[in-house]
Amino acid sequence: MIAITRIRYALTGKNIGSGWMYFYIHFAMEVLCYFCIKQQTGPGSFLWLFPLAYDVLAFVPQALVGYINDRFPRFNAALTGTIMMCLAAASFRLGILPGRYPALVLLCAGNALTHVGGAQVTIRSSRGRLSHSAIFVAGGAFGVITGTMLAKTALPYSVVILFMLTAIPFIIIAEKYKEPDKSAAQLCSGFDYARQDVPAAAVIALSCMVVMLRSYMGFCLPLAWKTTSLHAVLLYAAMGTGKAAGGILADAFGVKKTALISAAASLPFVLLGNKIMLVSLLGIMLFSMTMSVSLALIVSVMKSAPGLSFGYTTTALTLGVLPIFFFGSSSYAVNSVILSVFTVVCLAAFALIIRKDVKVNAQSQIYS
Amino acid sequence: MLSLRFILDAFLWQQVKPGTLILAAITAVIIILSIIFTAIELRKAKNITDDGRDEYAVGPSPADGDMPSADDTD
Repeated sequence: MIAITRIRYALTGKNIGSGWMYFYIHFAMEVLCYFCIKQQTGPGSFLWLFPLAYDVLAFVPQALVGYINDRFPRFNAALTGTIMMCLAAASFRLGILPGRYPALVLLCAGNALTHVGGAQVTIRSSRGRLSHSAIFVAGGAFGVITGTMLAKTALPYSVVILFMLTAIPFIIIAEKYKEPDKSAAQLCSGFDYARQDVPAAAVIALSCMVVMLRSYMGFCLPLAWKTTSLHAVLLYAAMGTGKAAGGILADAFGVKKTALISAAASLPFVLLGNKIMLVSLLGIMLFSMTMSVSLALIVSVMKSAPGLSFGYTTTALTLGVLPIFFFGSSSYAVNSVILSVFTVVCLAAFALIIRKDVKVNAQSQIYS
Repeated sequence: MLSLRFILDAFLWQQVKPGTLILAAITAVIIILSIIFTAIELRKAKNITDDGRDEYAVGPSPADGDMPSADDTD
């Protein structure tokens, strides 16, 4: 009963609306981006260069864009980014820009700006809680699979662009949560999850390492059961639900508990669920829960730069994906060893850098 | 079996090499800049801890020496 009460309070925390609004905005953004990418990625020599370019150009610059946005918090990055993405999509269809690579660069720049805008709003408004950014991040997983599925249909670009435009009112409303008059250091003072005796640079490096390893591990998951489009939808739904649940459970029961238990418990489920879908989906949910924890750890040591902190996680995500473009393994045994070793490394890193759970956000709300 | 797409697609690699190298260069530059900006942010945070001065706070800080202290009552 207490557990349910804690989760309920975590889900109804102050400014949680910013997380839900950016869930939708993130969803719409990924629908548009993946629709364009999948439509543009056809057979030919550029089969994998196009998605590689998308990953690098959209996710790596977020650290830089985030840092600039930290300095100029009044700038509405998400609105600018949304307009850029719509223009890029229109260019793919109408050929406004010469060639498809300039349009891809515009799409990626818009994606980076919108991601950073979402991070700024959700981190600054959360008062040190993880649910807001976790819910925001979760929207992406649902958007990726929806965009991928829509790209296989005859849906015109205009419909997807119009769908993206429906996010604009939410972007404008969510901006109210940002409180640009207050400093980020002041608004993020509640993020206090990293151990004080570990140097800040080590916290950042280890958090990024965890994100990189888990990003790579995502491509090693044994998924023999995944044979149909419906299975793919369920896989991404489990990822998205896990990402959101990670933040909510961390707020309800503590960051360290959530990170360690979810990372450790995911391993047997993903390994045993190779051919059993439900077991595998549960493992993938648990596997996805640590994303918001890594972000919260970096913000804890760089409270004045939430945008840069978020950018670190996206850069690490990309670096973790990069080897997949060159080296892959389809062997269950090899992937099981990789998953097991990397899980132990991630657990050790989390145990080293996360401070003991002294503050449980939902609990503090109940008794305040 | 480990598949080395990188080597198997040697012909393909020749075609995409310039693009991949440009992406690698962009990634390297952005990571270096991020590390520099992080160092600046961490130095700021360290200065706040060392001086007791919060540069984001409004008004004088104890480090300025113009805050009222117990000595003023002597």
